[in-house]
Amino acid sequence: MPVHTFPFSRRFPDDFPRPLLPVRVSNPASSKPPINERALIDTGADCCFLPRDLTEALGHDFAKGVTPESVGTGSGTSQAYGHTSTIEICDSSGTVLWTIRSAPVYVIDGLDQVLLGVEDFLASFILTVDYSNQQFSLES
Amino acid sequence: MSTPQVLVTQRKYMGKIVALRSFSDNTVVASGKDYSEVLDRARAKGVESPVMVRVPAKKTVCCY
Repeated sequence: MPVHTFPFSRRFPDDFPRPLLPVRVSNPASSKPPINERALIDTGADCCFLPRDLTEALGHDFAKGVTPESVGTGSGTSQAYGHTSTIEICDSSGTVLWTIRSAPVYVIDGLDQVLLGVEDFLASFILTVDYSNQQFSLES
Repeated sequence: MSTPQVLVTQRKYMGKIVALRSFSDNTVVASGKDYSEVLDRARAKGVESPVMVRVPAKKTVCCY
C-alpha cells in the first residue's frame, strides 16, 4: 500500500503547525476551473466541509444546497448546505494522489479552512500524525 | 524531524486572502479582502491555478 508523508504547514510565521494537505476543489456542474487550497486533516469532523467563498467562486449558490438536520461545530450549531463537489488530494507538485468524487460536501458560512473529515475521506486511510516530528502520513 | 513550511512569510498579508503561485512556490501573486477578486487577479497575471490561503488577522487558536 502506498504511504505518502507530508510535513506540517504554518499559514504565517508564528502560526501553529498543522497537518494541511494540498487539495484541488471543483464543481462538476460548472465550467469554472478548479481551485487550489490547503485542507486541514480534521479527525473530529464527521465529513468534509468547505468554506462559502470557495464554493461561490466555483459557481455554487450557497443557500440552494441540501440542508442537513444540523451541523455541530466548536462554536455551536451552524447552518450548512450540501453542494456536489469533487476534491482531489495532491502532492506538493500538484499531482493528484486521491480523489473524492462528486460527493455532496457541506458548506459553512464563516469557515476559513477546507476540512477533510472522516466519512468521505479519512475512513479510507490509515492516518499517522507525528507531532514530535511535525509530519503526517496517509496510507491507502 | 520535518520543518513545517510557512505558506505566507510576510506579516503585511495577515488578515487578507492571498493567492500563491503554486503548491511548490509560495510567491504571493495577489492579495486582498475578497476571495473571488483575489483569484481573478492572480489568473489575470497568468497564474491559472493559484493556491488560495486565508491568512488570519493575528495568531489564532483554532477550534474546528
